[in-house]
This record gives sequence, structure tokens and C-alpha cells, in this order.
Amino acid sequence: MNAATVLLTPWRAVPVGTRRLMAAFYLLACIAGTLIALFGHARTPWLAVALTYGVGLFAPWAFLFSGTVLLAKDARQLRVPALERVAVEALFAYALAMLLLPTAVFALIGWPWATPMIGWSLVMVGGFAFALLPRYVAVFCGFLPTLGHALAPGWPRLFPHAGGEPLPEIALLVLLAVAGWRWRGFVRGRISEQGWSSPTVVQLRYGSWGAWSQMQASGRNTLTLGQGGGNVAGCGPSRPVRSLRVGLGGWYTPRSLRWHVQQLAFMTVLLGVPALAIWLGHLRSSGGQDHGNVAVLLGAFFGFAVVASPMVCLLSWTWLSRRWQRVNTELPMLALLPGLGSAQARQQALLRAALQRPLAAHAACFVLVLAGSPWMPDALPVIGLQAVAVAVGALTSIALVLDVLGGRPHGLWTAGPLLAAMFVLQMASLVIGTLLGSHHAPGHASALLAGLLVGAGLLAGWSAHLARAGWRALAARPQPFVANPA
Amino acid sequence: MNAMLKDAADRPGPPLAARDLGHGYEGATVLRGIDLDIAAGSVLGLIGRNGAGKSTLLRALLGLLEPTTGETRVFGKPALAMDDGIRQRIAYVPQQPEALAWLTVAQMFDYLGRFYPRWNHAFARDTLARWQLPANKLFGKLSPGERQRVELVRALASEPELLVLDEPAAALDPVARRELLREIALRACEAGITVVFSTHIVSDLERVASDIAFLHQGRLLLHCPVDDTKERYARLWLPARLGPHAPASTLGRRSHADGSVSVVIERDAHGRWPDEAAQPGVRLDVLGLEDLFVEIAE
Repeated sequence: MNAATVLLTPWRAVPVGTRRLMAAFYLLACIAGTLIALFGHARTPWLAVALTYGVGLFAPWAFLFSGTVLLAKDARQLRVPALERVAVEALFAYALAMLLLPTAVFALIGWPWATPMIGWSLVMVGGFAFALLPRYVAVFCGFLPTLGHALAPGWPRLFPHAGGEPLPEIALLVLLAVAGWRWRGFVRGRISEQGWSSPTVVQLRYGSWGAWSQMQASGRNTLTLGQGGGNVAGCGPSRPVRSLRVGLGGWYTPRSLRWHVQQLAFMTVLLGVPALAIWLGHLRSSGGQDHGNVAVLLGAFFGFAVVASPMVCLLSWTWLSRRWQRVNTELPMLALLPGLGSAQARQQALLRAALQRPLAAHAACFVLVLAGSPWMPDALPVIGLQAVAVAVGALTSIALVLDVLGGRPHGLWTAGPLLAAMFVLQMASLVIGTLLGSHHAPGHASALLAGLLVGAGLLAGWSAHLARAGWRALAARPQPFVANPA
Repeated sequence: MNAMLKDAADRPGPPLAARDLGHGYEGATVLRGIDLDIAAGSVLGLIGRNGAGKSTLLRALLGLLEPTTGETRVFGKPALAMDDGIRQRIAYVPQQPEALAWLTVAQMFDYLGRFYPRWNHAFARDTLARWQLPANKLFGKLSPGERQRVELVRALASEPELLVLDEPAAALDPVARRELLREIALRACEAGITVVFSTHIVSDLERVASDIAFLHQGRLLLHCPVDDTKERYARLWLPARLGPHAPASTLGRRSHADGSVSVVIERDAHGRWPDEAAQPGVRLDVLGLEDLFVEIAE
């Protein structure tokens, strides 16, 4: 086993798309850091460069090098000699290279190098541990800064000699221990690859959309969230839409009361963490009079609504795309299921079944905005712009769903930019709406508003064009339950 | 039973028919000009190597894909425009079934039973118990063999007139395979249903099939009653000097390194082998079904 083989090992362990994306991300961060060092005017250039490089380190260690754990596991199970060892050696080789080279550059320039080195190590090990931890932990990671901020007063008691801050070295050791423990457990088969407790890195197992879609398609994630929970009561020829929702599966499936209670408990825990963090922060502020935390809560509230809308679109699209690719799951069953009426009736019922849930979810996002508006000084601009954004989002959902059902599903290269544009539109409408409703609206706010509306119009036009093409293709199909090319 | 057979006979068109059926994926042709009529009450074994196009043919026959050329009909109606009346009479089990993985077996049967007017609840319940399949377990958590058997129970419980099975025995153990074949034979004999199943296990085919269709590289090379294949085909080996005089064969021809040639020949309408078989120096081996399959597919 020569050095080249060792160095190529992590790249061979992940899908091509991930490989390219991670390499591009890391290189961009390096280039950005170099440009800042050469032309930047920051007061502390070393800090700006170190932070930029740190950002560039996270993604490869979370989504590229973590793939070696899958390779190591497979190598162990298949009794392939030496490969597991090579995977570990490759990790150490890259870790040393990505840490020591920039550190040496910093030292040569005469910048501080010890602090950045520890910071980079934290990012690398943190990213790696993130990939090995259960999926549900990943959900909470986004709230960690808020939680850390809220718990900050308690740190000196826990770490009396740390000058008021936790020691990065201890954090590094803890993360290393966690990563080692999870690596060992996963490679030796003690940690399952199924369900919510499986490591996030399992995403890389099945290509660009990862195990999530694979797991969803086989219904396996439902299994871990409480015995299926599907509710077939009320299904039958007299209720074709409800019946088709059972056939579509996933988030379309009608569920039992027990399942809803379980989901509610799960969501309560999920949302309880940031709520607790904000509440703690509110308590520690001066007698609860600080309105900053209310603003944070409100921001989180609106932020959730903004992120949820594109997620609804993404979820429907990925779910149905997968469903319409598989020939041995529900498609043949639905195609041959009697009692759903004529071809036209089946088509209409399918459309209603496929669109009702995402459109209701888009509407719920808008209701969330409405519910939060009483706490805003002037909510009208936000409500108006969010209404536009949600309407465009709903149109995008319709377009993507119609394209899948019509047999002309879009790949990631079309749907990705569409969804990204939708996300930007949602964010921009929130920010501009808030600016317009505040007392500090900038002079060029109306120009921003005009730009936003033009963007919304363009996106709506694009989505309408796709929806029209999808509708025509669906109408031309002799029956809608025909698998699309993979 | 007689009334059912008469009823089936009175209906227009054979249970399954294909004319000039062609299909392909990503530039590769999978089916080429298939013409096929499946008679009511027959048990057709569709045989071919892996990748021969068996699953695609079955799916095209049932209108589960839009063929590139030609058309398929189910009980006389275009397969892509079936009505509910025809759908009620069909049951299909795909290879490695995974449908409705998020429901328990009992839920799945409860769900599907509402759509089939002739759904036999007693049969479904009793067969699940007899085959020791857990009704309250999620379908997605069953082993592949169990899933396959549940799907077979599901298909049979709808009391179909046409049963289409794609590699039904692939994931089954020998005991389960016997039970399946027995069930197919029973249904075909007693209820007169039409069965089409794909397989590459020749012994299964010999055990229950009344007809055989041989699919090779997307073409239907052979379609006849199984009994007609017995003692009908032979491998004729000709030494190098007689190679150019080998009879033309549509079923198989192989040239060997020493210049000798093997061809698959069949008896004519009078039961005679071609004249070349009588030449001195040639060797004739009568082929059984499995040998015939190997000879053609190799």
C-alpha cells in the first residue's frame, strides 16, 4: 500500500458529486483566505484568515473524510485486509496536512499560530464527530450557539480556572473521544445504519441524496418513530384521495392518533431546546426587561417559517421523484388498483393527493407568520411580502410535483437553483419586509422592494412555465402511475 | 367453477396479448418485436437468463410502462387504458416487492381488501397462519422471503382471473417454493385462472407450467406447450468437414474451436429430424427442457 493509495482512499469512499463539491468548497476557502491575507484591510488579518480557513475545514471533515468510516466498516465486514487500517492512516495524513501546512504558513508570516491551530483542530474533529453522531443530534447542532450563549454564566462554575470560558483543549479531547467511540461502534456493527439513531454519515452511502431518500422510500424511518402509524381507516373506493395518500406514503400517509402524539412529543423536545435557551437568556437579562430576547424568539419564529416553506417544496419533490423511479414499490400496486374510477378521475385524485399536503404546509407557514405579526411594530409589509413568497413557493411546489407526475422529472441541476432561488426570495422578503416596517428603513428600501418583486415575478414565471409543461405531460400520459427513468 | 370458466370464455380477447412489442432503456433495446397471445386458463412460464427482459415484458404486458413500439392488451382492452372492471380481475406480484412497507400486513390487507369486490378475507387470514406469516408486523420489517409470500397471499386473496408473478420463487426456501407451486397448480386447475410467471428455475416451470415462452436478448424465441418440448429438440453436432452443411437454426448455433458446429434442431410436423442428422459422423443428443434452455441461452 503506497502513499498515493492512502491519500486517494477518502476520495474513493464518497460519491463523485460530494467529492467535487467538498474539494471546491475547501479550495474556495483557501483562495478566500489567501486573498484576505494579501488584500484585506482587517485590523487583525490573521483572525480573518484563520476564520475563513476554519469555515473551509468543516465541510470536508463532516461530509468527505467521514466517508472513510463507511469504507472501514465495509472492509471489516467483507474481510478485506488492510483497508480499515488504510482508512485510519488516510485520516491522520489529511488531518496533519490540513493542520500543519497553514500553521507553518502562519508561523512563517509571524502571525499567532497556536490559537488558530487549536481552533482548526476543533473544527476538524467537530465536523468529523458531527458526521458520526446520530441524525437527531445534527438537528440540535444549529441551536448550540444559542444554548452556549444562554448557559455562558454557568461556565465559570464548571471551569473555575478557565478564565470564564471552557477550555478548547478539553472540548477537543471530548470531541476526539466521542468520534473514536462512535467510529469503533459503527465499524464493529454495534451502531445501526437504520433509523434516526444512525450516524449522519450514512447519508453518503447511497449517493447524492443519501440514505435519507432510500430510507424514506422503504418506509424505514417510520419504523423507528413508532410502529408505522399508518391509518387505513376510511380508505376505499369512496375516498380515492385518502386512499392514494396511503399509497404515496411518507408524509402523505394518513396517521393514527398515537403516531401524532409521538410526533408532537418529538417536536416539543426539538423546539424545546432553543425555546429553553432563549428563556434562560431572557431570565439572565436585567429582570426580564430586555426585549432583545423577544426579538430573538420572533426571529426564530419567522426564520422557521421561512426555512420551512422551501423544505416543504424539497420534501415533496424528492419524495415523489423517488417514488416514481421505483418499479417494485407502490407504483404497480396503484396502477392496478381497482375502484379509483376512470383515467381522468384517477389523475385528478392523484393530483389532489400529491398537492394537498404541500399546499397545506405552505399555508401553515404563512399562518405562522400571521401568528407572529402581533409582536411586530408594523407587520403589514412582512405579511404582504411573505404572502407573495409563500404563493411563489406553492407555485414552485406545484411545478415540481407536476413534472414528476407528468414523467419529466427535473434533476438536481434544475430543481436545485429553483429551490435556492425560492429560499433567497423567502429570506429577502422577510428581511426587506422587516426593514420596511421598522423606523430605520434605509432610503433605498423602495428600490429593494421593487427588486424583490421583480425576482418574485421571475421565479413565479419560471415555476408557471414548468407547471404548464408538467400539466401537459401528465395530461398526455395514458395512466399516471408509470415509472420515470432513474 | 364451470360457470366461472364459461364466464371467462365469453369475455372478449385473451387475458394477455402483445403485438410488435418493443421497449428500451437509455438507448439499449430490451424488447424487440414481441408477439404473444396467452390463452385463458393456461399457466405460462416465461423463461430467460438474467437481463433477458422478462420483468420488462411482464410490466409492459400489464401497462405498467409505455412501450416504445407496439401495444399490449389485457382481456381485449389496451393495457394502458384498463378500466376498473379489468383491474379487479388482475393480480401482479413484482420481483422483490416493497409496496406499503409502512403498514402492517393486516393493515395492508385491510386496505387492499376494500378495493377488490371478491377479496377473500378467510383465505388471506388462513394462509397467513398456515404459512406462519406475522399479520401484525410491519411489511418493511419482514425478510425478503416473507415479503414475497405475503405478496403472493395478497395476490391470491383478490381472487384474480389473471395472475402475473415476476420471479415468484426467487426469495423462497424450498418448502415455500413447493407451497407456492402447489397453490398455482391448484388455482389453475380448479378455478381456471390464467397464470403467467417468470423464472429461470426450469424445474419449477416443468412442474406447473402448461406453456413455455423463451425470452432471449429481448426476443421471444419459443412459445409452445411444455409437452411439445419433450423429445422435440436436439443438439446436432457436426464435425468441421460438415460444418458448412449444418441446418439453419433459429434457436441456437455454436462454432467450436476445432471447426465443428453445434446447432439446435427440432422435429418437423411428421416428427422427423432434419436430413442432416442422418449423415455419418454427426452426433444427435435429444434435449430436455433445462438442456434446451442452456443450449439456447449460452
